Amino acid sequence: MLKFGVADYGLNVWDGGLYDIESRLLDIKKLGLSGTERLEAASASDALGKAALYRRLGMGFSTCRGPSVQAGIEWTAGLGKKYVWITPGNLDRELDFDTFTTRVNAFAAAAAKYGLRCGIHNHVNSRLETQAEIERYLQACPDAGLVFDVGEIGLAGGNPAAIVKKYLNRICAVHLKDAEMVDGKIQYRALGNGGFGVINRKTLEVLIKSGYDGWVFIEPEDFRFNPLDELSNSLDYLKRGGLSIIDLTKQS
Amino acid sequence: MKFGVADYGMNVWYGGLYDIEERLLDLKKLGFNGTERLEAVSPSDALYKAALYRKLGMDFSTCRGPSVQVTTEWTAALDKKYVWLNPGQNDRVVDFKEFCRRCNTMSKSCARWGVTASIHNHMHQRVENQKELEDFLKACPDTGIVFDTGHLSMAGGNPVEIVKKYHKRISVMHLKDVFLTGGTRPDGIKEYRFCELGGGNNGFSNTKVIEMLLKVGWDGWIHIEHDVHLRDPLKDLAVSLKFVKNVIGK
Repeated sequence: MLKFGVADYGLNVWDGGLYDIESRLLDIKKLGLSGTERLEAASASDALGKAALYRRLGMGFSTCRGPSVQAGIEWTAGLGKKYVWITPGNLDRELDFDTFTTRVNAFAAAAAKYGLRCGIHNHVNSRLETQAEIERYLQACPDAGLVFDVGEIGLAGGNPAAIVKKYLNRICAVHLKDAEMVDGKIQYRALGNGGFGVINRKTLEVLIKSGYDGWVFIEPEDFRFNPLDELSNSLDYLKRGGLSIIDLTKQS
Repeated sequence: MKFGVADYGMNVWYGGLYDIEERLLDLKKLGFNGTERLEAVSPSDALYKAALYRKLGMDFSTCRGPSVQVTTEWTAALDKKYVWLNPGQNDRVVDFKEFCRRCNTMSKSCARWGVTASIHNHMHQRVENQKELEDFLKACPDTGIVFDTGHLSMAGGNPVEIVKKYHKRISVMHLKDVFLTGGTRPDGIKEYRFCELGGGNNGFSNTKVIEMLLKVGWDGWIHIEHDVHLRDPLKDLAVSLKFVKNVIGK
């Protein structure tokens, strides 16, 4: 069943950090969301204690990040989750593409030893920005997946629905976000308040029609407003668009 | 369905569990998917062992730590569904109502963590025979069953009927056969030991239990449990797994 959560980087920026995961989970639960993307842990004990807390609050997460790549892989596997983010060092536009894919393949092999897939987050101004780059990457790294960001590929001029149709089984998780250009710079917005609201909504429809049943994370990164309000507005936008099949009250 | 081992009998045979990796590799070779319990002494130990299971392509269905509370918390964190009920005294002496009251208390605590506290029906324990099991399930409506066919059969019950009637309450299955060794105990119960599937002689067969599980669409872990081994446990376990898979048709 599709689950909706928060990729909560923007909440950390707004608050200045993540001070109390229990408060955060209770806040987003009130909105009808089911969890955060990452469980952030400083040690194995901390990871297990936090995972128990999520469960007690009726919330979930889809991956775990520890203080090192290897710990992130081991703890994510131990917690029974399916994917980790690919973090193979330098990810900027200067990085040679073949070097990048070689590193990703090494990362993917390490994750696969633990029964995990690794996924890369496509992002403007990173190594994986455009549709052509995403497709080239997916072909060069057959065991790796995508933390697929609909807003970012929209910003890069790509067609997210086409990616979903062609590479559904490579998608580890989905990120939704909206944005607009202001004075030549990207400004992120709540869904429906930028230029990519419809693209997000349509891509979500394609995902649902294709049978995707993983996590969908909304990324609130319009730093002018409280991200909880931004999340609420984004959810309202999705519902107004006819996505009433998303019954947030029945999520668990 | 997944097939595992409730490995108490292996610990008895070998004298203990000395190396979980070695055990998992042994069981994997036989075609098992894991053990019932991940045994852990600390949260770090629990998480690293869970990672090891995953690395070996194996799994577990619950976790046991050094206290009831951490057992519940760690099982919840590891995304598993049930823990064994462990409400203190569990012999034939403890008052049934008192026992149920304690089980309901533990069950309520577990429910906070999204975990079902489940009773293991067992010879010489508080919930031993069919009537006691059914009375217990009525008195403790939020609990599940770690349902042991061999123990219920030895207690004169009908495991097929329990599966048919209470399959939604079954958290996990324990399968074993009963071998009557001749003679009678001082308490009037026939002398017995548990054995590999197909090796029993008390007139009970797990075949119909498995068929009923399939009929009602139950889909969980089936753990083989041999409390007693008279030879290398891996030989007995191989026989039992083959028995189950033959019935299922895999």
